[in-house]
Amino acid sequence: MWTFGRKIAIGFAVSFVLLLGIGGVAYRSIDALTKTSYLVTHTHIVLERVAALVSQLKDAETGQRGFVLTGDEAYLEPYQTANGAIAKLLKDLRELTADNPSQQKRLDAAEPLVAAKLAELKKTIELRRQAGLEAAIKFIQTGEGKKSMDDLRRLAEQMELEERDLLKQRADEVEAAAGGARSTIVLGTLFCLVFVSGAGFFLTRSLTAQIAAAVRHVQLSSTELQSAANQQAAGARESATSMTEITTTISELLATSRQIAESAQRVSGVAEQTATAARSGDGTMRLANDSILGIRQQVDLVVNHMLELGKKSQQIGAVLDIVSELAEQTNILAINATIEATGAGDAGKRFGVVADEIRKLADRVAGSTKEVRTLIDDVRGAVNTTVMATETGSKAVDAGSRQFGEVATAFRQIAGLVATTTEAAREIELSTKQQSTAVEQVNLAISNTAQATRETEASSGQTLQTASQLAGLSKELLRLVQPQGAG
Amino acid sequence: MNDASRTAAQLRQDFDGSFAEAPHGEREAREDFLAIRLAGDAHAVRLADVACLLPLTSLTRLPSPVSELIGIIGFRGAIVPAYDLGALLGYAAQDPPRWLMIAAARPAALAFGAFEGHLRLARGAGAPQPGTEPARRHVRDVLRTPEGVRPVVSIESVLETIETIVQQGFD
Repeated sequence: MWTFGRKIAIGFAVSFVLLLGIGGVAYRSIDALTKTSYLVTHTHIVLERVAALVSQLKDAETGQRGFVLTGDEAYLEPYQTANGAIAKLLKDLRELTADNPSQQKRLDAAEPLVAAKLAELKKTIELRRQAGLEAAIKFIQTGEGKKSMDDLRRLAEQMELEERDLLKQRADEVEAAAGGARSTIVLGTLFCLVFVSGAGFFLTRSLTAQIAAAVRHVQLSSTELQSAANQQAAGARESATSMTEITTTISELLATSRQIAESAQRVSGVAEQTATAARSGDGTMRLANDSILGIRQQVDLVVNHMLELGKKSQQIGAVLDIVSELAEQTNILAINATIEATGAGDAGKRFGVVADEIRKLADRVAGSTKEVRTLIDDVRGAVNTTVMATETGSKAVDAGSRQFGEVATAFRQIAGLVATTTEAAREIELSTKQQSTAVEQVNLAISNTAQATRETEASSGQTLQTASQLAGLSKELLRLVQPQGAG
Repeated sequence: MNDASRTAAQLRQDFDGSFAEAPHGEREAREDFLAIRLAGDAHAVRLADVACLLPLTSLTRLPSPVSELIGIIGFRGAIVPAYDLGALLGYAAQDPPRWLMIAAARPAALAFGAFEGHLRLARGAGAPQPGTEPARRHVRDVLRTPEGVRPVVSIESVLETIETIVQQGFD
């Protein structure tokens, strides 16, 4: 399919070619007319030169006649003027008719005649001066001069006649050239008019359809662009709002990062102090561990002593069992002795008293034995409790020792971890400072982006406005190209 | 001086002083009892009814139609039958008895669970307390002691019951 520009270009090209043809024909006709006009002028110049030559010859003859008649030298002035001019006229005529052989021939014939005439005039003048009037008239009467003059007049008339013929011929040529030019211009103009009208009609029709389609497309596109611009504007507004929120958040983040950096710096200081305290605590823990080991040894001694005390208490208990058994048996024996004494009647009364005392003593021994057993049991219970407590204490000391060892290990680990923590805190401090810098850069970038978003929003508004204007323009354009279809 | 030292001193003083005092029997009339326990119940037996008190260390058990007869023991060169005093008083079978008393009236040993001591009370401290139920059948009176009331088992009545049971068993 031909494009809009190609159609217009071809239409203009054809019109240009036609105009160029018409112009060429006109130019050629004008050129021919100009050349013919030059030739006519040339012919007129030749005619004027021929007439001037005849006139100069007449002036020279007039001056000769006047001098001959009067003898006054003053009458020779025309002769002298003509004598100088004739040669130049002949020369001009020779040059002007250089392209005309017939005229050159006539000039060839005229030049001897002119020379003869001038010689006759000169001779007459000399005769007048030297021989007087009579001699001069006599010489004139020979008719030699008249004959030359008549020949010259005839040649001049022939030359003039030929030039007149040339004038007529050139006038005919001018007429023919002008007629051809007129016909060419008129017909060419009419043809151009018809072609331009047809081309204009077809171009208008074709271009109107194309422009209308394009304008509809532009209208549709402008509508879509309007919608897109609306969406873009809405998105840009949302982006601007989001950017504002992000800027606020980034500012808060920046403040938080600075606080974190300060906190990390404080943490680093505290970690260093903690590392020092942990190292000091490790030494203290070593001393405490040594003390605990000493305590443990003492507790072991106490446990051994208490176990020994428990064994002794058991031995005391065994001895007390014997004493108790003896007391019980004594009691039984005393009771039985009492029975026997009672059975012995009066003789046994005194024995009964002793037996009763023995029984009382056995009761008291039994009571004391019970008390001792109670005390022994208490001692054994206390010993057992003490042993258990001491063993518990020993275990607690062992556990404490282990825990102290673990605590010491933990302290060393703490010292190591604190060193690591210090290093980490420094790294955190450095990283947080870098993060703060990065956040500042991000904040700056976000600010720029927010500015860009606002500009985008403004640009979207302008785009929307432009799209609206474009829609209106396309509608207007469609109304211009298709009034009936621009509803 | 602690309590034990004071007690020892008191004992020494009492012991030394006892040689200077008059015998109890001459000062006032008193009666001796043995404080025992049967199936956890506190009882008393008149010392006058007992010939000997001894721990039950060796007992030869015998098959017998009399369930209260738990065996025989050797006592001062004689074979003496041993009866369960708790069973005779109607208590159900309890832990094996650990003590024996030899009756003064005839050669018979009565086994009981626990011996709590010797009581010497003023004569007449026992109050009449007759009963018909098995546990009270051989109780003629009771003792009022600072620890509480303690029934006094009549050995004579118990011996009569033993004799009756034995005769019924061998008849």
